[in-house]
Amino acid sequence: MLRFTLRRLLLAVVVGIAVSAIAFMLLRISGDLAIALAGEDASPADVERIREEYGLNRPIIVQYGEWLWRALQGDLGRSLFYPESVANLIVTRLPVTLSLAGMGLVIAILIALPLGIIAALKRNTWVDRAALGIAVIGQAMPNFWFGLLMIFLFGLALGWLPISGSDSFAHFIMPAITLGWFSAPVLMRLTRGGMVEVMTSDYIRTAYAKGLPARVVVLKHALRNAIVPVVALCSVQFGNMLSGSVVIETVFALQGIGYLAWEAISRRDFPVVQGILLLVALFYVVLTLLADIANAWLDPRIRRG
Amino acid sequence: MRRHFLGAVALVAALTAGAPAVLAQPAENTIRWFSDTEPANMSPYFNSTREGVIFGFHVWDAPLYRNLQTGEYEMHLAESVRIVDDTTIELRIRDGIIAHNGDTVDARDVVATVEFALDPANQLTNLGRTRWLSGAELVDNRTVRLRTPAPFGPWQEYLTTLLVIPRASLAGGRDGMGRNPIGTGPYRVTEVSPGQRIVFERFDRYFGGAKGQPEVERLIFRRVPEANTRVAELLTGGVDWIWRVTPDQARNLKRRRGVKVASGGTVRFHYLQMDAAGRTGTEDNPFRDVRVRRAVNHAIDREGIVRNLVGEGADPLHTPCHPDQFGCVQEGITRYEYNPARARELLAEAGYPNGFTVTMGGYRERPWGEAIIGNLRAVGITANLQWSQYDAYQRATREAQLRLAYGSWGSTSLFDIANSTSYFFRGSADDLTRDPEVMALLERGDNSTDPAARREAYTAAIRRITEQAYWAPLWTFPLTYAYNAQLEFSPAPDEVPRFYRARWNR
Repeated sequence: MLRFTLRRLLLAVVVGIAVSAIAFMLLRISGDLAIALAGEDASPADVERIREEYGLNRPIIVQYGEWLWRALQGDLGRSLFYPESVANLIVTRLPVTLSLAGMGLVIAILIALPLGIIAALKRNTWVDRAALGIAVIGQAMPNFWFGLLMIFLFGLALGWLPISGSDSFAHFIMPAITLGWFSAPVLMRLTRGGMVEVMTSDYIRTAYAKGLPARVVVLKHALRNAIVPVVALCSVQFGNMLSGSVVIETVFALQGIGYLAWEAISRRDFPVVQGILLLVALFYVVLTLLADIANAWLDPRIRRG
Repeated sequence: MRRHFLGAVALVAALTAGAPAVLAQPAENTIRWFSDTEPANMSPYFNSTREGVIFGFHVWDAPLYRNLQTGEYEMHLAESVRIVDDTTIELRIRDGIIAHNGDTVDARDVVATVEFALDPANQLTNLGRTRWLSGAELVDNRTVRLRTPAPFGPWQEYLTTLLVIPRASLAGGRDGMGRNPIGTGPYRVTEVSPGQRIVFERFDRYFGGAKGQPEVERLIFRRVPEANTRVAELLTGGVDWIWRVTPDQARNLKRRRGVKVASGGTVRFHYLQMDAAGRTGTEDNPFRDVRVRRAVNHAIDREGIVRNLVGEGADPLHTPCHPDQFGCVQEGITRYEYNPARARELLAEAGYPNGFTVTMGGYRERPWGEAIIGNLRAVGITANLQWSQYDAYQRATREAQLRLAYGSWGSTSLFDIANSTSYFFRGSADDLTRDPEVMALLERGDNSTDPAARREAYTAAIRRITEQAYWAPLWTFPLTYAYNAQLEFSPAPDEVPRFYRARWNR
């Protein structure tokens, strides 16, 4: 297991470097950092001075090599715009995104599992179709729109929840529901599919034949098998939530990693972009690893290899 | 997506028209203001955002202050200013200026600021405040002489932007100034939590000067990127003041009790640049022909676009500068009225009876750009929009990749065409015209310290530019504010709200 874990972590580093190299080149090809640093009212002479002072006139490969060398020594560098180190920027923003994604995932699971199980048990009835309808609506409705509707209802009309910011737990409720609502349908459909398949298995028939109560058959025997792919998907969804919550963070003015990434890309603040990319690559590897471990715990066949 | 957002806020505001009025919170004598952008670095020498300019006005001071009502320059940090010779300006700094950290501020701080700004090792990113200077020399602790590399006409205007940083703060460099800004202005910064909030407290030892003493005790700034969220916060009393309100939001907000909506002008304007110099290539380049450039000018329905899209506070523009800027004459210029038939005639005369196709670059206010494309299409010009981030757009124009560029210019809020027309027509990489006559006239105006001589040179330059239709000037840029109706606030014409002049009606 240790070897497996180390191999995964090494892979994460390789993937991170490859992604960062591509991102670096794309960022530099698609715009001009010196112009972005100088701002809109700067003259061409100002831009050239900044280009020289920041060493942006050197070959791109040299600039990237410099960054990579420092990064390999654990120094992600400093933001070109913020008076902060990249590590510090990420550390201060990460709790917001982790809280949002964590709450979002819990909400997604709370919506998806019961609906998926009920839809499978009541297959081809109006209950099943209603659950599938909810899934379609959840996936079809853009999350920014859903977020605005939430603001309208709970913030503006009812005045129950704060509209923007991240000062308290209450500030996370609407963003987390928005995020969870958007992620729930895919989990629900997978739960339903898995349950439908498992419920027709011989061992479930045997369990019923033994006279076990339906609750035990469904929750202990069927769900445990049906949930294996859902766990794997949850890890991917959590990764998506961590790296892709930019729209939610924008609508609700949460200052997390998603918004920081978007802002850094817009400004071409490449040390920050690179730092976030490495973090996201690491997230995915760790989450996949955790999903593998969870699946092995849930399914003994995986443990035995 | 943005249009959906705007639709959403219209819906939200309309549906809640009967909801309770916003809650006024003047009791704490605090103004909470939200904006879509936050300067990454608080120092005015390390950020170029508009919000950064506003912070600059509230936390720091400059030797002169431009009175927006009279247009006159008033003494502020300086108690007197005199021209020593063509390239030397002497400032006498007021006695008794106290910095937010308690230090005394005098001429030594002016010298230190200029030297800091001119030293390449400090890697400034906002060079506009000091690019006109070549050095500073201390005469005594209250007197400083500023040097310019050549005679510099708009020196007074630029002295309003030369924000003086106390020496102790300069020692912190880029990061120190960003984290712990120290100024002399009416407000001191007491909290900088990037992405969370920036808190400004009234500075009780402020010297006043031309700005006067502020009434509001505390300002709290927060970035809220989404326009609809800002409006929702205003409607629920979560914020006291927002800006960049869109015309449809403004229409709905005006119906709300407890909310006041005001529009004001800015020194910003929009324009179309055409590659008259042939920098993108001279072969088959229609914009080399003055008749084509005039046709473009006749094709655009400025009044219609202003009325239907740009909104209240905007005016159609006929000059390559803002009419409020020094030297931006409006008399004797060539104006091009909206006349599509005349545009088609001119195109036919120029050998383009069926029009032509061109790529048009742009980076902001896309719907207005699309309206221009519609106008051009009506006379036969197919403009394919190349939309990008500002830096990519700017690089494309500077590297001669665009024949037609739809841009916007804020003039750094300076009321002098040395920072607008001269910027675009004096041969820099942003000059798509390269007309030697215009360049010489503008250089003469910029390098003279005699206002009459400057005005004469600029008048000739503007007339030549409009007669040759080098640009298609579009409109001035309006700014709409929405705020708690109990707040007494007057929009300024330079895109810089003065919170130190605001007060709560209790």
